[in-house]
Amino acid sequence: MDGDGVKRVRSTNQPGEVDRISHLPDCLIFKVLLSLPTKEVVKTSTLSTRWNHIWKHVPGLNLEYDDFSEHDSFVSFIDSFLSFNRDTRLHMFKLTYDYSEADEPEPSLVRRWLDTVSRMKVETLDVTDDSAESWELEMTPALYTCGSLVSLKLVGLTLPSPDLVSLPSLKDINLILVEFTDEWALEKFISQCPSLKNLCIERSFGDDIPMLRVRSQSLLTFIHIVDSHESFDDERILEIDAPMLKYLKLSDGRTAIFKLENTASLVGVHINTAFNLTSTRRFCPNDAQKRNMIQNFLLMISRVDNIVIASCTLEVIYEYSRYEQLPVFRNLSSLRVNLDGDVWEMLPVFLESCLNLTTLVLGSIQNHVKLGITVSPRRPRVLPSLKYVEIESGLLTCELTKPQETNLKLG
Amino acid sequence: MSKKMIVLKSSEGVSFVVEEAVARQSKIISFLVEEFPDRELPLTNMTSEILRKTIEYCKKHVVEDDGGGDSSSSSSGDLKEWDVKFVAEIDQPRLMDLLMAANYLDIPSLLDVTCQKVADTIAACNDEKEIRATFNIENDFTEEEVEAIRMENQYPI
Repeated sequence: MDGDGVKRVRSTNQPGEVDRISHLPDCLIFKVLLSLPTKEVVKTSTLSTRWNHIWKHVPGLNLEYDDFSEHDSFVSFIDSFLSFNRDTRLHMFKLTYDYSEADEPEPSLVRRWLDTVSRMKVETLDVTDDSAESWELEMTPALYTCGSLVSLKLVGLTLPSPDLVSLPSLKDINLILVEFTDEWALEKFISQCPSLKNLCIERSFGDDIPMLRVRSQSLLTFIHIVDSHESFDDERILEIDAPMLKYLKLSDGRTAIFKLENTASLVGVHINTAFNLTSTRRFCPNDAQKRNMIQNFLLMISRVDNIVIASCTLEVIYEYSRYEQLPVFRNLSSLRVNLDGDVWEMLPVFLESCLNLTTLVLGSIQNHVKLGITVSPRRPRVLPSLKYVEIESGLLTCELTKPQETNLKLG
Repeated sequence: MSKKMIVLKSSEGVSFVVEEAVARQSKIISFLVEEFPDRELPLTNMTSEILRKTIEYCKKHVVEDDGGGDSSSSSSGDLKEWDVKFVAEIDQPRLMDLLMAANYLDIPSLLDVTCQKVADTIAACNDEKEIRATFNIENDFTEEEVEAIRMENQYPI
């Protein structure tokens, strides 16, 4: 069957039981092993003589603090790996450290490693400080001049203010619950990455950035996640100036003001925000600033093809639409509404602006919620273009008077 | 406008007529097409079976890249799902052949998915005995040697 493959491989095994993997060139074995946690990679050393030393040359480390029973062996393992590979271009350095669990917490130790890997021209850097409520671990400034860096993920660390940034290759940044030594650090960092394509920021409550400007000439996707918290009612601002941006996700329970500039390239948005309005802090038509902000925001997203929208955003749009006309969403072909409460009165108002909608999905973010809605458009001509409607399970009682040729799927 | 076609020939001498855009996902073919236009390209170390699989992968990926010209998250998600299914259906010797083919033809995304599949297979094994059995690796160590290696490597638990 694969006689050609068999002929190329010399083996003492029976025909049909050929060891193909051991005959791969080292560079391909490295590529395979780079996808595995280091503790799995080390286990390959006892497979056969061929595999005895391969693991040491794999140009990447993927370790968790929990992989070791003792702190000392954790430290000495990383030290000896970095020393052994000091002349190697490091492909990946992935480390999960629990600062609070360490017998003798040593942020300086981790910083020393990060300094070393930045010098070793690392491409993928992924560092997690697993300790809750601690941001003691501060990133080394050497990170900002690691010219080989392509992908960066940091969780629970503190980023220093960048003085000098030289990251010509950096494409992906993922910052989860990261804090910053000053309120401009993040903004400066983002604006100085000329190749940045994908940015995801899950904000920490205490990051002390009242206003964040995301300015990038290269950015394609941006995800901004902030959880809501009752004790915070400051008017936070997010400004986005990204002429190449195609996809934007705002899952944001805290930011009050979104300013979108130069976002004409947007194709898809996922909006889950109430613009920091709550049941006690409702939309007020006399608040001209808020009204203008929502007007501009809707206008900027009105050219997209694809929207995923949450109930809380629809609610604000509904309130707003009682005082201002909604823009026409002329290109919008696909809309998914994530229902979380009875918003049925509000949805038709928004749908009237979607002249060319072909696909509508009503989804529930909580499957157990039974909303018992009755879908019965009062003006059937509202959505003449609609071809497909899906109502997911959880929204159990549904009746839909559908336009001709509409496919209806009940989940 | 008709699409330009090129001919790839497998080790058994079977010719495959492929759209140039499909074949150009291989950096090597892309180079050869420019150096030797209108020539049949012999791929003497690729069986028809593996060449067919490689072309199937390239076709899927070129279609997705063309479709609408955008890489929205859902379409790239669908493509990832397709990739996972594509490598899941291939048995191990052929997976190794495909991995080598991706390396030889320089198709980075195919090399990524095939290497990932091999890594997942290793990760699914409980111990080195199972890895050896899965990949037919012959153990040429004595038990004492294995123990010595374990001690030396300061094994993470």
